[in-house]
This record gives sequence, C-alpha cells and structure tokens, in this order.
Amino acid sequence: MKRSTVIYIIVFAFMLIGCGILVLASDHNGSGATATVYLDGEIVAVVDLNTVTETWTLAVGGNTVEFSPGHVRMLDACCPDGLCVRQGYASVGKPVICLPNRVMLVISGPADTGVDAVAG
Amino acid sequence: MKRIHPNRLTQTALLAAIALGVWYLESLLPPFTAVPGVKPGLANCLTLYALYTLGRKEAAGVLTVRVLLAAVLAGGMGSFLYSAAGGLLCLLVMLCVKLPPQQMWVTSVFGAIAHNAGQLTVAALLMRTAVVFVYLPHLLIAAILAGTLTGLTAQFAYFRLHKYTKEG
Amino acid sequence: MKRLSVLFLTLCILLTGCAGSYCETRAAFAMDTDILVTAYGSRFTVGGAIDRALAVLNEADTRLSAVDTGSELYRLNETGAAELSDATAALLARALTLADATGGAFDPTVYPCVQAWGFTSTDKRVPDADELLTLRAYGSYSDVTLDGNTAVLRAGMALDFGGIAKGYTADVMANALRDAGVTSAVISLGGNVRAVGSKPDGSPWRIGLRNPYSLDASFAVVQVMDCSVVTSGSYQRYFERDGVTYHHILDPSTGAPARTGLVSVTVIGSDGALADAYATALFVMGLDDALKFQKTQGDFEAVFVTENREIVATSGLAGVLSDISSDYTLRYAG
Repeated sequence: MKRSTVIYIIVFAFMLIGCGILVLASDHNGSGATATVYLDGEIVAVVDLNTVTETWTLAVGGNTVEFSPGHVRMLDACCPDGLCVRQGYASVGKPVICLPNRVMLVISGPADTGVDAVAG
Repeated sequence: MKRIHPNRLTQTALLAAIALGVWYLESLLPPFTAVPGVKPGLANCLTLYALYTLGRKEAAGVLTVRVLLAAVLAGGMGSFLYSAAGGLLCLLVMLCVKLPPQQMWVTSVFGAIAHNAGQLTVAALLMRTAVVFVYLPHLLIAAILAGTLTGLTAQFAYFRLHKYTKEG
Repeated sequence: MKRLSVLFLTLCILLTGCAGSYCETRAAFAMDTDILVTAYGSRFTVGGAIDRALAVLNEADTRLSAVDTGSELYRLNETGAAELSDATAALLARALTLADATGGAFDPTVYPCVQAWGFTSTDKRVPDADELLTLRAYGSYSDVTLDGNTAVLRAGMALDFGGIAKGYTADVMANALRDAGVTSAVISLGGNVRAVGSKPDGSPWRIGLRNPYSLDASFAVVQVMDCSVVTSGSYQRYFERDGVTYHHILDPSTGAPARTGLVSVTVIGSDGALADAYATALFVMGLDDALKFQKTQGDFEAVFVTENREIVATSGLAGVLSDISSDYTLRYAG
C-alpha cells in the first residue's frame, strides 16, 4: 500500500471518529418549549408547546405538522423521500427539516430574521 | 467537430442507464439515517467509473442524464436543485483531485464530501438560515462511508471489467 | 495533482472542525415572561452552559419575586423587616443607590401604588389622586434602612424589584454562561436583552428596538457588543378605562402613570441592573431632563421615542443605529 493511501485512511478515520464524537456530544435532551415552523425561511407559525393540551395539525407547504403536548413533528409530507416524517420529534438543536418542500421545524429559536433579538 | 466514437457514446448511455437504475433502487431503501440531505449517493459510483474509463465529458454526461431523468421521474424543484448542486460539486471536485486508479476510492470520498456539503449549503440558502449546519457532522460521516463504498465498488469494477470495454 | 489533494484533505479536516461549532437556543418561562437564550460555542459546552444560566434564572426568580410567598422580598414586605441573603441585600443596596442617582425617578418603593392600580393582579382599577399620595406618603427610597443584610421598612411601605430584576438577572445569567465557557450569546428576558460578547465571527449583535405602534416590527436596529439593551414602554403593560389609557410606568412623585410625551425609552449600557432602572427613570423624567441626566452620567446611551413619532438618540449611538423605520424621524441629541 502506498504511503499516501495510508495517510488518506488515517485522515478519514480521524474525521469519522471526530464527527462521531460531535454527534454524540450534541445528543442531550433540552426542554425547549417553543416550536417555530418555517416555510422557505419565513416563519409561518410559532407555538408554545407547553400550552398544547390536545394534539392538532397544521398544513404547511405540502406537509402536515403535528403539535402535541410538549412535542412537534412532521406527520405527513408529499415529498418523494419522506425522510422528515421518519425523523420523529424535533428536539433542541435538532431541527426536523423537509429539504424538498423547504419546511423546517425548529425548537425554540429565531433564525435569520435580520435581528438577533428584539428589545422592548 | 471531433467525432465521438460510437463505442464511447454507447458506454456512456449504458452507464447513465445503470446510474438511473441504482438511483431508483436506492430510493426504495428505507432511510438509514433520518437526517436531511443524507443520501448514500450510490449512483455516483457510475459517474466515477465513467470518469476513469471514458473521460471527463462522458462522466459529466452520465451525471447530467441521471439527474435530469431522476428529476423527471421523481419531480420536485427542490430535489432537483439538491441533486444538481450536489452532483455538480461532486464531479468538479473529483475532476480536480483525480487520483491514480489505485486510489479511486479516495477521489470518491472527496466527491461525496463535496456532494453532501453542497447539498447542505443549498438547503441553508433556500431556507435562509444557518441552522441546518447543525447536521454537518452527520453528513460528513455519511459522506465518508458512502464515498468509500461507492469508490471501492467503482475501483473493483475498473480493475475487473475495464479490460473488456477498452477500445480496440 | 498531489498538491490539490493535500489541499482538499486540509479542507476536509477544517470542515470537521467547523462541524464542532454549534448554536443552541432554548426557551423558558420565568419572571412572568418568555425567556430566550441563544448561545454559540462547541457542542461540548453549549448545552451545559445554558443549563447553568437557566438554573441561575430560576434561583433569582424565586428569590426576588414580590408575589411568591416564599421569597425574601415577600417576607420583608409583610413584616417590615427582614434579614436578606447577601445577593438580595446587594441588589437592594444597588437599587437604592440608583434611586438616589435618578433623584427618585426610579424608586422601588412605588410598589403599593403598582398594587393599587391592579397591575399585579387581573383586576385593574383607577385609584384617585388622594389614595395614591397617601400611599406615597408612607415612604420613599430614602426611608428604607439597610444595615448590612438587615432591611427595615416603615409601616405601610412595600418594595418590589420589578424595575431592576430582569436587568440584574440577565447580567448574572451572562456571567454563568461565560463561566461555562461561552463567549458569544444573546439573552432575552421578555424583551430585556443582554448581549454576551460579539457574534462568533466577531461582528456585533443586531438588536431590534420594538416599534411601539407596530408591535411585530422594530423602529430601529442597534449594533452592540457585550452590553444590555433595556426598554421601558407605555405599550408594554396598560389598560383602558372610560377612554383613558393607563400604563404601568408610574411617576413615584404622584403614584400615577408618567405622562411625559414619551412612548418608549431604551437604555444601552454594560450594566444590566443600571440599564433596567434607568430605562424606567428616564421615562419618568421626560425627554429634556433625561438628556441632561445622560450627559452628566455618561456610562450609558439611550434612545427615546416620543408621541410625535420622533426618535431621539444620544450622540454616542451615532454609527450604531440603523434600519430606521420610515414612520419616524431621527435626531441625535448633542
């Protein structure tokens, strides 16, 4: 085996392990209370999950978002892969994203709306 | 205009067809990581093989045909954009860093990383937020694993089959 | 070929490094308002840092609440004298100093009037001027005795930290974040904003100032690093009775809502407790006295919005205010 091949293997292995650790490090359960639904980068709904007493759904783009007490997830999507539905419940730091339909469920977080916070 | 050897054209078309088939089969598989943008990209295997056996133009051809037909079959402006961006970036990187055939799998990994990073960037632009980059480590892992798998497959095919498809 | 592959290899390693940087936002509810904490850092530290900040928030909320029957403040108000914890005593001392500095425009002893108007419950009412003056006559900030950690009030007096608690707590939360290794964050306690450091790329935080006439929008954006941005506005808490609007920013000299032609006052400074207290005080003082006051103090900047849709900003803010809404005119005070 050429020496350069060994170097490539070592670097890729390092990247794999590094990213593996990073994935595990961000896997904690934060209790985020606010769910924000985005379509094409624009906010379409902000829901305080603590105030949800019974399960209800919202149609966003071609998807259906389901809100239940303390949780939010993508219930249905008309996109070809349906990955977003299989992502399950969104949690802090782990948004549920439907790439083809550009729908995003974020737990507690204003994204780029031009300002980082509003005083007053 | 330089005449395209009919054998090359046939081979390009054949590889493109196989790529489309692989793409279709891949879409039937259950998602192995529930993370946006993570596609094993197994069809890139054919683009890679075309690059080494036929050349740059043919590899671009295989990629273009596969992306276009996949868009026609599966629909959606969104997924077309992602496939196109990912595929294009992948090919560009593979062209730049084309290593000798014994290290074809390394070229493949570079291409896969570029492919996934490209898709994530497109997602960030389309949704106008950087929140998506939270999934960067997940995507890198998938890219390295998938890239190695497709790369080794193409490499294996190259060394076993290539002698049968060389022009006379 | 070899050099390019080395380049790409390096890029890939850098990409892995980038993947380590992380942003997390968490929402909570405390101090009767919505809390939002956004922190940037490494995946390993951010989550724990926010946990620490929220723990500190809850601790302060319990300690400083005037309505929670278990709090030190409640005990002080009920019995007229109490032994306070170090932190609460220090905050009380601070509040009294700030009250003195503002000539009583900020006064934590105005609480009985706040209660009389019904702002602490759901039953709003309009007390008459005599009732308010009687309540004020019980005592003001200069009648509070603080000896070490022992606080004594005169009969009929009661305190609350409403005008200073959020600013103070935001500072304590910022310290907790910094201690846990986060150097880039922004905290919002119901609109009381605290910026920690600058954004991860070194650029300043962009803080919108809420538009009193269009609550979903901002009338301006201020670019800040490592400081508090606190607004007192008549639109924040008010009620209407017989066609008259009564808001929650009371003038301690009358016990009634301050009518000074101002709709919103925003104070920007590195000390959160000060910014919070002064935002209230400047509103009560009115534009002219407030500008004079700012000139003599110098450790903060301010933005005023008048009922005439005029924005007046102190000169130190020239260059950091942007995105001015077209509904307003802006001028800088000398």
